[in-house]
Amino acid sequence: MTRAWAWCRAWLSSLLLTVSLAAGCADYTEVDDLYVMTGLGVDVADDGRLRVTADIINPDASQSQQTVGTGGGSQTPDLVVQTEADSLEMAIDDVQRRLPHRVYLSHNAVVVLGEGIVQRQLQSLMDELERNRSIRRSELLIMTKDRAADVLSARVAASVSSALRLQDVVEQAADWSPVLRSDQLHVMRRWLSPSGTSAMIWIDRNGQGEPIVRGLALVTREGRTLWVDAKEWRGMLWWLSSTRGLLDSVACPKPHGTRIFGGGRAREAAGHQGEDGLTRLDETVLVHWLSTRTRVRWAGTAQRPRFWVEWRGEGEVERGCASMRLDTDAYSRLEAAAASLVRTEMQAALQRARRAGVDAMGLQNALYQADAKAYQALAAHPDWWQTAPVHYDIRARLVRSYMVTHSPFGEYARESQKKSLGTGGLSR
Amino acid sequence: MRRRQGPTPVPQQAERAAAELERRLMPCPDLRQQSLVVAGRTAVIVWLEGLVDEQRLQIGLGAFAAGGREAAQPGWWERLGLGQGRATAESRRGPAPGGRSPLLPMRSVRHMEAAVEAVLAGNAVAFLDGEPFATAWDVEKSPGRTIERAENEPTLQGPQEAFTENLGGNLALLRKRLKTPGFKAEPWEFGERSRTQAALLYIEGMTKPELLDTVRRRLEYVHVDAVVDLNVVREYINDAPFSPFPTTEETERPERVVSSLLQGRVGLLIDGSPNCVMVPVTLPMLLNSPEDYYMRFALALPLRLMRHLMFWSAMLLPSLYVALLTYNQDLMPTPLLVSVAAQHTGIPFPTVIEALAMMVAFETLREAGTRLPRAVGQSVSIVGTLIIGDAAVRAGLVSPGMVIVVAATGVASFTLPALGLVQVTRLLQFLFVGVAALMGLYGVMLLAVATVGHLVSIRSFGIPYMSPLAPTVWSDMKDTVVRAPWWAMRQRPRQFEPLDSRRAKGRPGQRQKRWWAR
Amino acid sequence: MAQISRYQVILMLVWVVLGTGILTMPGTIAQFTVHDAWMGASFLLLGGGLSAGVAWLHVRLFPGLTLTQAVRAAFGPWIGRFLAVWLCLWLLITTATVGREMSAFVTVATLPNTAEYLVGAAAFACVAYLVYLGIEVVGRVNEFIMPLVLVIVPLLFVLALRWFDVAAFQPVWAEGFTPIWRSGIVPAFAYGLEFVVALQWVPALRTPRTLPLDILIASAVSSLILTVLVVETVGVVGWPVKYMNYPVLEVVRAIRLGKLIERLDTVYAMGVVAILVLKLSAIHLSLCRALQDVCGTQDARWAVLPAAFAVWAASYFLFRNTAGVTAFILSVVPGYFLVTAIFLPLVSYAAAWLRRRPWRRTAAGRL
Repeated sequence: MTRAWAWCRAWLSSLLLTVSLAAGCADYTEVDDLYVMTGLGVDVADDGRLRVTADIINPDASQSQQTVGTGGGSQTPDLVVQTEADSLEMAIDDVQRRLPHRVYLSHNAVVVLGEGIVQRQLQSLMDELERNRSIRRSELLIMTKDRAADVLSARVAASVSSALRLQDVVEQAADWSPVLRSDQLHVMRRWLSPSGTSAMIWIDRNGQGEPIVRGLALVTREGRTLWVDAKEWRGMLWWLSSTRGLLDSVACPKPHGTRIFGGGRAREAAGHQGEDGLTRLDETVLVHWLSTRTRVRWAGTAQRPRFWVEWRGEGEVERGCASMRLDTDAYSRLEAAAASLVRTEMQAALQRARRAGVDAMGLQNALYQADAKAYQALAAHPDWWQTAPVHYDIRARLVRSYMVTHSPFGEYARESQKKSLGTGGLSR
Repeated sequence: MRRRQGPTPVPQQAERAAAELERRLMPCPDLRQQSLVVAGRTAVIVWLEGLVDEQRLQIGLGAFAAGGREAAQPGWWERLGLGQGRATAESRRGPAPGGRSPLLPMRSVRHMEAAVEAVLAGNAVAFLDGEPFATAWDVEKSPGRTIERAENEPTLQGPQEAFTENLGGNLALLRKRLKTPGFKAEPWEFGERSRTQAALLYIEGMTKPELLDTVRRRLEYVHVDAVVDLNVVREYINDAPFSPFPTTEETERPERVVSSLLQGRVGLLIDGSPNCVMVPVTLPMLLNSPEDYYMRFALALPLRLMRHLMFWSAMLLPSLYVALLTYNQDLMPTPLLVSVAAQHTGIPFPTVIEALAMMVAFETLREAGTRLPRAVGQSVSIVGTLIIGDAAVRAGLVSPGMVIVVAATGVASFTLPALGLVQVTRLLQFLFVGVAALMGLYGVMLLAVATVGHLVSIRSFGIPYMSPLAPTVWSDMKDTVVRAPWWAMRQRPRQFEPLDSRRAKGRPGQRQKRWWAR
Repeated sequence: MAQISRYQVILMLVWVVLGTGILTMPGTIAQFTVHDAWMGASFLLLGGGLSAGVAWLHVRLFPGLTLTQAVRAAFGPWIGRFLAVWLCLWLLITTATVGREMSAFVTVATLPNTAEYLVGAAAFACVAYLVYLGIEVVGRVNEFIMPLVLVIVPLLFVLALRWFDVAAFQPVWAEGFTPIWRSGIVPAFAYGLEFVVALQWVPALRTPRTLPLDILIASAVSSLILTVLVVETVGVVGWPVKYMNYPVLEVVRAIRLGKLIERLDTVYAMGVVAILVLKLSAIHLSLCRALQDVCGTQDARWAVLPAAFAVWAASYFLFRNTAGVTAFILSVVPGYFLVTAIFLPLVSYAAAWLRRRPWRRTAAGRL
């Protein structure tokens, strides 16, 4: 073989390779030829098809932001496109047909699910979401009782797309509990666990049309949904995961020795209200739970299912009540009262979930992980978890009261002031 | 190496001999002749004005004139340059034993060709009536620069001297740093017409003999008419002649040559070139700067890491940007993607064309900056980068992101200490942009793997180019990305297989440990 | 003759297993068990042990010969050549399978609209170049990539740990040993037996006698890495790992830290591409060496390009779709590899032993 032929061959093969590769640049897309989709809303239309809302970043608006002094304020930051189709992909195709640039899904940050969709189309929708290579498992799944389209079209911020704002809202909420950062990875993981229930953040629009965190949606893989409002989600959040920064209003414990455990619960529940029926803030202590954690353990047998719940919380006094000076004794009484309240709230949450047939607490998971044989034995009675007794071991620890030890206008303060100044000094 | 056909003997009449020499060099206005009478015989001395040191010329003339009675005897003339019958390079090595003045070695020249050569080499050649020899003595003082600061390899700390175009001076710069009899400078001559002198440098007893043989063998293949610069020889002897990567190292700093000789490497100095070639070389070595050795060792690590990173950045940055913008947009954070897309909207060219145009423009400016006189060159660079770049962005011809990326690539390439590597990155970045436009990051990745394959396949005088990284030589890692403190580098690099692997054995009774080690 | 060090051999072998191992192994194992998947990867040691056993016999009976040369020496020119061709086909099919897995992965992970055969062509061009440069170069590229891997992989590993949940491994041993054993079959007999390709490199090894030990070290390292990988994958992804094609990719796709660090899967995909190119190169080297032995030529370079073309074509001709590749790996490869990589060499060694040593003196001459 001559040297010239060797050269010739090398050139020919590189030429062939380059030409064939050039033919292969089917994925070449200019960056300004993209419509970056950041949010997807899925509802069920009246005819049972999917109503898909795509939240797409408006390139014109972002361009006018880049250019100084062109006054691009009138441009909306995103385009919201709605369509109806039999499947998510078909809907995206349909959206694509209306737009001059390629719809780019890879940056999708949130999927807002309407109530109907989880009841009727959950399986096929999740199949598409799990399969789609452009959609990452880190995207957030958000439930809404409104229409998903409305949540995505809510226009509040002038500079950022609705979906990205929703993402920020969820990220903020996730500071309370990681379960509120309901990304696809975790949601699917929980759906496929024995309990088959996932918690998702619930966002609706408020009176002004702004999207706000309404609470939690607990959805079973069969599509049953339990909506838990933020006002009463503490009990549920404590069941679901560790939490940070939740606030709780504990009835102000009496100074001398009434035991509060058990029997005191009814009084505590009513303790927030005065005789006129209005809420008396000065009779409650506001506890800020710095961090809490919960462990649900199986503690029974296949014949006698039983669970043991361990709750540990560390908090601080955010607002005291008038009658109280925070000494060690008062701290322990307050801790007992707080623990009792936590227990009440958790019991209430469990009751609700059981009534709704939603094993949000993961009782079945706890059993499966502890004793797979017992789980199989109990599989014949799928409702066993709704009646199994639960024992609570709740320990609260209050660690500080911020800058003061007692309320400035509280009874204790007035008494000590009287002592030091004399009555005349005050009444003059 | 040179062919000599029918050498002409030196005529016995001095005048005739001088005339013959002049005829051979004519026209030659700078040829000077001086006749004098030595012991009753006519002597003619010939030299080239401007090439010689007048003072030494005078000493030589004085030596002849003082010949006295002795000079009247036949053979005296030849005894002046005893045993040095031919004017070859070897005769330069030491003082001629028969010379009258120990400071002024003389040698005998038998043929006219040799006499001409000697005159051209800066010798004064003397013919004496009745003698079939000429006597030549080296009075060369060729015009040239004095020693200056190292301009092309500047460092903040450390020695600042640089080589000049004078071989002898350059050797002296090395000798003053390396006072060992083991330091050898083997004389070579290249160029059939230029007769350029060269010196092969090594340390006997340290450099691997096989390496020396390889270098000598390759040097024997150098067949050119003139060696105007080191590069002529370098291209003859280097490995992987078709590879863009430099397989030899050049420096203008004598202390670098010394330290490389002490690693067991070989150097080559050539008259007329202010650089020294050092072989073998590895890529990690080319990324080391002399500064690394003059600063605290701990600081060298981040700097070297940065240089390694910058070497790859200088090759890959534009292609990564093109790939990110045209194929792998998902890798960018959403706000960045939106911002980049907004920047790019309205640019009339596809990203790849934009990138190529910017790169060509940048390379043009860089070339212009290098070619122009320094004062003008700097202003061209500034005008080019600031004004033209800004104008292009304002005119909507290129996006600001692209300007940033191409400029950053340029800056990254400026951090590389070896000029050869800079040129490679300039070349390869175009290739990478090409594959990025064809297949995105996937193409870039494959080409990068192929490039690594190419890099590890190259050898420099038998040493793998990527060692000690691949093949891994753990002991040599001390001076690769990390620079170990001097007291920890007690062994010479193993990769060069030096005969004497310990750097210093210490004087008898000298403490071997560190002062703080108990 | 180019020679490669033990370190290079171990690295090459580790990447031979991990190349596709990090792509699909956690998913393959999780097909059978999720909670106990972490035990499955260690079965690789079994395959590694078998391969090391074969290598031990090989380097003692046929020092300095490749497997194909050994087979020819044991069975003579006719049967020997036939069996050597069988080995060539085995290597060709293995490379084709890996090539197809690679192009499928790349089209899923980064280039969805590009034709698979073009993706494969680009990869094989790179592989052919590396193999053309020789085994030494392949070994060194392995070495060069190692530090990069040591930086990137732990980084991704640590980033993904945030989503790790120990509950995914409970209950332990719930379903007994059978699913664990079944999950271990592919690691043991598909991946573990791939080590036998190293027998084709024997003439290029600096210390051939340590090859069995090197295989054992490589299999220990690989099974450790794979176990860590499986643990991470199952811990992060949980139950869904059962239905995923590329579970490790999904782990990386799940990473999200703030708004800057997310969608890192392309980075991972590029890392996998580099490793897969190394795996393909290593097996392709063996294939070219086998072709050299079959054809009795001085050099294997002539075979590089034609073999690359053949493998490229075979990777699309043999498998209709990705399901075909998976089915082949799950149901055919364990048996096929066991016969070709273990039984065939063992029978050859037995035959050589029966022929009682005359080959020792003449084998080199005959070849």
